[in-house]
Amino acid sequence: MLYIGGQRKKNGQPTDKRGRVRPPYFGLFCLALFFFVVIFAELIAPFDPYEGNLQNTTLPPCWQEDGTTEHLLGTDMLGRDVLSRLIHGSRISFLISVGCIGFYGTIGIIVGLISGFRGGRTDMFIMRLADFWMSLPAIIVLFILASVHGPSAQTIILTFGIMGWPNWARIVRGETLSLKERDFVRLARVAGCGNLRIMFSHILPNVINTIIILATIEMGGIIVLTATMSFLGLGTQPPSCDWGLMLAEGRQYITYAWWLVTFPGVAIVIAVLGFNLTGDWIRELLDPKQKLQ
Amino acid sequence: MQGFILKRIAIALLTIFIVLTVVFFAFRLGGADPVAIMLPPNATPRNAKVLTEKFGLDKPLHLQYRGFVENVVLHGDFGMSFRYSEPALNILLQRVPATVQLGLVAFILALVVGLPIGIISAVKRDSLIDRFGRTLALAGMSLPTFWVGVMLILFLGVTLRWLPIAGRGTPLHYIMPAFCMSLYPIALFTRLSRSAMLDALKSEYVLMARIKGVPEIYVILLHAFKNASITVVTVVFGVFGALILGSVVVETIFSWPGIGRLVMESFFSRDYPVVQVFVMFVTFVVVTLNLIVDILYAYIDPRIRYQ
Amino acid sequence: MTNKKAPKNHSEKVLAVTDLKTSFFTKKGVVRAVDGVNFTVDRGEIVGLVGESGCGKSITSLSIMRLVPQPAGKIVAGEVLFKGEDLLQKSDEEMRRLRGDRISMIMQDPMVSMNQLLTVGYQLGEVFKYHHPGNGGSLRERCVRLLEKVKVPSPERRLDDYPFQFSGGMCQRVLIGMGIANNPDLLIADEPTTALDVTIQAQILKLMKDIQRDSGTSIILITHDLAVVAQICTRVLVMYAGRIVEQAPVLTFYKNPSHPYSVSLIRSVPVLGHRADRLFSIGGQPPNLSNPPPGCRFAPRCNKVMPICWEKYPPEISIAENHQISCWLYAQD
Repeated sequence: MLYIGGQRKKNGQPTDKRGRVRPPYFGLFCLALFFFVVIFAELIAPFDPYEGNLQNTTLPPCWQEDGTTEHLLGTDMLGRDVLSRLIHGSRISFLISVGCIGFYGTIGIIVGLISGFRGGRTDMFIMRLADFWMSLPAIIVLFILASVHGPSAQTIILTFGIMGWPNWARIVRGETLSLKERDFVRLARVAGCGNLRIMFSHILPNVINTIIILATIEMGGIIVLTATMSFLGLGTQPPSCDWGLMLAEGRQYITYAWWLVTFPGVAIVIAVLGFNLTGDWIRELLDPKQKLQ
Repeated sequence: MQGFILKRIAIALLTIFIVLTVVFFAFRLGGADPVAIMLPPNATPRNAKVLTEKFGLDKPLHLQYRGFVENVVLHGDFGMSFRYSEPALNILLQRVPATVQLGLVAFILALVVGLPIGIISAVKRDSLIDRFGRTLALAGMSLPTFWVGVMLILFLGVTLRWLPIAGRGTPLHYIMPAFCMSLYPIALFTRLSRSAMLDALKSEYVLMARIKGVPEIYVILLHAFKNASITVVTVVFGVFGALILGSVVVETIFSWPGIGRLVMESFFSRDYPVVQVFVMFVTFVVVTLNLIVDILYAYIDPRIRYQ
Repeated sequence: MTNKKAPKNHSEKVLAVTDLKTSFFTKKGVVRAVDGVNFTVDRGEIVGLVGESGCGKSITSLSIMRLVPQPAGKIVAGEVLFKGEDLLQKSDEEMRRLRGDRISMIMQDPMVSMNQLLTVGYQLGEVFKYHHPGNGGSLRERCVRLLEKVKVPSPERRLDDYPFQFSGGMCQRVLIGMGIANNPDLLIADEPTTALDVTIQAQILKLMKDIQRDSGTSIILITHDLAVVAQICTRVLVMYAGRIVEQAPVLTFYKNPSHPYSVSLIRSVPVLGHRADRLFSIGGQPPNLSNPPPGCRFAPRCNKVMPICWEKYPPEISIAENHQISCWLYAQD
């Protein structure tokens, strides 16, 4: 959905002596850290992210005066431990983002397969529709949905689902078009396979590579966007520990509680860098011919 | 060329109409009862009835729809803001200049920084500028706008007190908001112009120009860049979408009196006519932008004209 | 057949290439595309450079022009004397001034060689603008005369057209026009007729012959098509796997091809009226240029191969006047 646009060529990658692309160690580290935290959140978070001790509100991080080592990154305005909230927040970010990509990705894949497979008028119509759809900014759909449905995490996922499919549809359609003419598809037809079966059992598996690349690349952007929407108040609602929401809540205290707005942002940046750097590298590996954006 | 433009205009109008319809039905059926919003808590059912009749909300839906469309198309009337008791459109239009000014500064900044860096990156690969450009692009895509804004306020506004942190008035007020808004667009421009230029520089016609002995500067700007610019123009949509979202975020953070902040305030105070107007306004602008870009394409690329 | 003798009034060498080596440094290793090429071109000659795809003919011509694709490509050794001066030692600006003026090139696919966003008139004018502005009339007049010279009809009107409005053959004429605009001493034509039909091909070849006759321009004609060579070239260079394996005047070459590769090439051309059960083709594949074998590179496909062919690369020797060959069959050990 992130219309980065145009064709991107390889040449932004650091290479080793033999010209092969070196793995992005920092990016992989960030990604690993992110997934580790997502999976083991309950085990590593020192406190419950939703329970606050009102005796200990807005404590600074441990290295500052007045900070304690109990709350490494301090506490927020309700006495909740910032570090624990960040850790659990990763899970929220992850789930929402995966929900979004899952939703619009599925629609995009199905539409792309149908469009590419059937060709002709259907294809033309769908592609025109996709073009038209892509030109509308997602924010207006967000406002409409949030007004009608109320702001929530589901609203965000719904918005992405509605607005995000055209890009994937177009890419999957491209792949389908070229795969359609290949021998193994012809053989499947001769063997008597119906259209649906060919689409899903034969063509789809070959498109998986592209889908993986797309998902990894876009994940970073989705995390930022969903955090932005929560920051604005149009997405996840309190008392959730969504990173964007944490930042929004912390804004009021910016003059004396700088840690409330700094660390959530750092968490976002680490997660996003992990996906962006890794995504670029994966594209290198799986798509040497630069068929993708 | 004429037919081309007319067709595009027709699609543009159709788009606006479709969005208008969606907006109407979404808000009308979405359960946000305008009467309930407008009335004070101690209102009686009779008050409610009077208001309902006054706004024509008891009429059948399709009549309401027709009334709505007529109002919009013939009178430019999107209804009254609940909060301000003034026409919603007027409220919006008053704040448009502020948003446009900020957006324009951010856009120009992004263009002036992003394009040249992208071009030089492509021409002088792996040079210092190339590496700087790639880092800049990565930063623009990975650092959330709202976080950068808040961090800037923290450092430059609160801690160092160099720059004003709210409102609009002096050129200094523009610096932080415009910088924030331009980060992501800069990333888009840099990446795209770089890749488009790399493609163009590998082409046969560039080789041909060098064979003819054309000086390198003209090869880059006239031959390569002209062809690359077609691709670059496509990114304007992405940039524009980013600027819209950016406006909402940045205006909220920096208390900039534009339509971004207006729509957020209106949303939270359930002043839905203003939200509606915002949606329609943005749609209108986007559709117009589409139109301009299509025409720009036809201007740059003669092949489209001659179809 | 037209007169094949090259005019020998000035027997100065327009081009003398010595031991030219150009390599590509890629992910998978170093590819030695041009690996020690030696030849000369006299004034007014039309030299045919033949070989199969990938043998290094195009890279040789790009190396002479110093336009090898970067950053992967690099000229690693050799000397290219153009009218006595080494092109490999010249600065970028000096080369730029020579290109389009004293040395010129025409490429294979005319449609992609032209910039589709600029008018033909503008692109034609560039070759005058950057070399001899203000010589002989306005830019437009000179372009019109150039188009007339290459026989493009309605030149006045067509100057304002875009390349996509031209047919392939017309486009190629325009490119030839660009090539000869400043009466270069050397014109390199890289497969100029491959993308065109046979009828147009004949016209283009005739045009090139006229150019050579009228202005004494030397031409290097790169092609894989021996029929084209037979029509207009005065001398033939046969290239294989980055090296030249045989050089001879054209009549000699067709009467007495000596290198086994040359023999196979000539045999591959089907002859009208001569029935054959199958078309002859040379078995095998050209060698991998990133790891060339120590001996003769044609050995795996040669029907006259001898043990020494696998061990050492044959030296270049003269077997007749103007006829050189690199093959152990002819070298007296």
